[in-house]
Amino acid sequence: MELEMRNLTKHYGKKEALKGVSVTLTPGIYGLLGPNGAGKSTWMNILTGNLRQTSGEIFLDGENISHLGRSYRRRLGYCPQQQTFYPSFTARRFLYYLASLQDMSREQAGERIEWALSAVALSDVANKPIGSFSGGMKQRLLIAQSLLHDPDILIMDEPTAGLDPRQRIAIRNLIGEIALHKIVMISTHVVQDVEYIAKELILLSQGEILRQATPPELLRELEGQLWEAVVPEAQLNEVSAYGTVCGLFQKSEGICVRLLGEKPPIPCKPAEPNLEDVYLRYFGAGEGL
Amino acid sequence: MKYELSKVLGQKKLCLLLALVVILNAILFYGHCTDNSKGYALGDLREAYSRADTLEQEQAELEEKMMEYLFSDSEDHAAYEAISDRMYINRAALERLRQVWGYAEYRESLVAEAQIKQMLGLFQEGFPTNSLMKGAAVYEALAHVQPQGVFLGSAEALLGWKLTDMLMLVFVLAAGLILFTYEKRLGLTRLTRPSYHGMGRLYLRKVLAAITVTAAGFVLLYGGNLAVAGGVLGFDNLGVPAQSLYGYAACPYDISVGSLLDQTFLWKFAWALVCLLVVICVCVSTPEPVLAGAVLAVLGGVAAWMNGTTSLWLRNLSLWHLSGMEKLYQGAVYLNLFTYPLDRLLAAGVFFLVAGVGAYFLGLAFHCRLLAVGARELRLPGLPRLGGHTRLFSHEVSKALGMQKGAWILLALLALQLYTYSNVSTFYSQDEVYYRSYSRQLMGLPTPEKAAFLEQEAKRLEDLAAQLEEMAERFGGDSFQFSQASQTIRDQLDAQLPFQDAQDQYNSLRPGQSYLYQTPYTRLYGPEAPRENLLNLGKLLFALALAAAGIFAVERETGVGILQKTAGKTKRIALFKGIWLAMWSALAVLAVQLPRYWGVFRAFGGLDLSAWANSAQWLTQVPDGITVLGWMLLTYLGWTALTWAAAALVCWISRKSTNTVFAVLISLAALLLPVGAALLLM
Repeated sequence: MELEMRNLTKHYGKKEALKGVSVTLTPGIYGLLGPNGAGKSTWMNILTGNLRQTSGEIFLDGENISHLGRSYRRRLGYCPQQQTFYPSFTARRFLYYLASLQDMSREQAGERIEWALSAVALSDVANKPIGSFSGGMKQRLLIAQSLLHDPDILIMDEPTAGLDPRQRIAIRNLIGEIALHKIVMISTHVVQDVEYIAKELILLSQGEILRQATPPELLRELEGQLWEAVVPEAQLNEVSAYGTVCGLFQKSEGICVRLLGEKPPIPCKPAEPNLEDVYLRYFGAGEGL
Repeated sequence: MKYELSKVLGQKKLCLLLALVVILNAILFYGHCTDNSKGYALGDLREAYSRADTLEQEQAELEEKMMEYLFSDSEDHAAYEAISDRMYINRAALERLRQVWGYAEYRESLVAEAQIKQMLGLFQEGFPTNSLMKGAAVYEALAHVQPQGVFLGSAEALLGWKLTDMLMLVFVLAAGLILFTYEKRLGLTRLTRPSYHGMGRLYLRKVLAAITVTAAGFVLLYGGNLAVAGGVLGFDNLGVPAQSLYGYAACPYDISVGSLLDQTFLWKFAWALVCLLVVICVCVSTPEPVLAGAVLAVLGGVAAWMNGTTSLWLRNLSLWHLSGMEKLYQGAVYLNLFTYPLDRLLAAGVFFLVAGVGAYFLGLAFHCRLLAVGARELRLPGLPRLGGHTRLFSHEVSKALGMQKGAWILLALLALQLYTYSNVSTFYSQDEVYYRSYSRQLMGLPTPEKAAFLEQEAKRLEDLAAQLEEMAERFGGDSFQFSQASQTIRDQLDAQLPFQDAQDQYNSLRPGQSYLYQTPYTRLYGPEAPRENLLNLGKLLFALALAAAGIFAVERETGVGILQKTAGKTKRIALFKGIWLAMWSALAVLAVQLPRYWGVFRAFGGLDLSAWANSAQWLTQVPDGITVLGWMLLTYLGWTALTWAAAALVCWISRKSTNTVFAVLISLAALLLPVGAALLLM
């Protein structure tokens, strides 16, 4: 299975949200990283058919998806960023409704709904109204609905938003389990969500792909560029001039600073890079919130 | 407060709707000022007033000319119309002038009548006597008032116009729904609850913003009326006593016409504020605009019922009645407060204050108590769980009927119609009793037996008439003996006119037509029918707006539309929603019409479904061969087609709306304003 995107472009008036994005995806998990406004949601909405691209084409196994129509959508699962529910529906009823959107039979839907509810640990509250759910429960239900019809292509926009660390790990493991023969694209700000399970990371900024590589490749690029130094608090401002500050934490002897860049002219030692450092390398730390 | 205001004023579609309402009001009021359906427009009277001294003489001359024209063979229609138009104008002006000229005698007669009644002891001690004495004292104190026979067209137009009061409620409803229901629906109330400003202060700010919107609407609507009235009719003579104004001769207050207008507008503003606070109280208690709309409709129905009762207290506590405060200036009528005659204006003022303050604090109580969704399973014991299937059409229907209350609204509509028509008024005059009895004998297709019956009955009545004549000759027509002796015969001869009607009706039947008892058909299709049809249409469209406005908006509001689009089912869902809405509309038309047919024929009887419809007096234009049942079916199809057109409009509004509150508001305005305007202009 192969999902190929050629020169995808999207304009909103004069603003260019996507600038000629070309990428080919094969079965596996792809993490889509980028700051706010990079074009991640735009890209995902184009893939799911909620937005029409200005130019460019998308091919699934060599066929243009605009010609495939319903047969493409049947293979697509989408977990949107915003929570989309009928508050008065119970979780089970909502999943049955979504199963009807996918033309599933009642028996098939029954089985898959029970599996999905169990996979996201919502079986106990399946008959309660969604309006009474916590934010995390709603997010898990969103994930469940995206897996309902066992799609070949899974698009997930910030799937772990609102989940506590234990739940995030559980969802990460679930995605890792089911993604064996699927193309899974996960857009996230939480780098740890994809760090261990992603086949490749796609770094997107201002509508353009900056880099597409495996996590080990990206980490190797930072070898010899990450340093740790312990400095007194008064010297923090001075130290930040030597490179990008990737992290700060308190130690008994002072503030431990992780710096990205050339070796600073202060006592320091090399540090082990992680994907957050990669993120900061490409998207910078000095742009504020 | 400016942020609260921006929530209303920032909604472009809503502002456009409100602007259209203001423009519509101005256009319709202009039509009212220049309306000459009575044979004259108000502006025509100005010139007649200038000839007040010679108007009666002029009218007498015109009447002579009219008589001459009618007895001549002249075909000069222009001359006839000129005389006729002049006469209408003069007559209208003279009605007004005679009220002014006769004021002194009229006032003295009111005082004298009260004094005589008191002297004769016609009323018991207590309220009747107190009320009489108070009224007499009030009119005695007006002895110095001298009404003037001057043109007051603008005041007459402004005080006689009711549509603006109804349009005012659009602003009131918009403010309530946007500032309270909308935010609650979005869940934003939880966000603002723990804020620094506190729940009470936030509520006050919202209420003040709503009052500002209402005040702006008031100024635009009533200000528009003033501008139009001033432009078309002028504001002359506002300093003359209010008793100079047509219909206000019995005004118990020593005020000028200008003061009367000022006070009326102040009262209208107070009424609008009280309505606003009641609307807010309802809107803040629920995040469901459909439920809020339904509760407000019930409250409106209760107010209308109170307005129609014979109890003066109930009428004077009805917001429906109090929308026309100018009526309270038309006579000295008092409310019984433990035998004390209470002035109705004072009572209205106190009611406004108590109702307004009460509604404010009740709304505050609702606002401060957030309604959390219960975590209990939503299922009645013993009933199967909803939605355990994958039929998309069934899901869409159950969403519409359950989540959007379509089923409840349909049932409420049916219940309302059953209640309305469960007690159709069946006042029978004596003539009607006879006519009904003859009709029972003659119902259906003509037969030789019926013809024989008619002949026999005609003979019987002729014989009775002859007997009566003979008695009159014997005893003398006016004598007591004649009266006694002929009583039985005269009682029987009361049937003569109704028999003649029945006989004429029978004899006028064409081949194929049936004799029908006309009364129920007159009730269904006669002169009162257009108004009743409009009222029923209003109820139907109100229900449609509540049931259907959210049908597409809810998908955008909840975001589920994204999932529907991803699944590629948007068009199919739209088709299913359309099919459901068409079915619901067809059922709703049945719910509106069947109880009416049931109520009327239950009260009067006389239903003959197989008879040709043109056998009924008011359906003579229906082609031959179409039966009563066929006509009812055609009427049903016509109503259904109209409702489908309205449903299509509501669907379009819903698709363009991002949330249900706006969709409900705009749908209600789009559907009900034309119906309301038509009713008021009827």
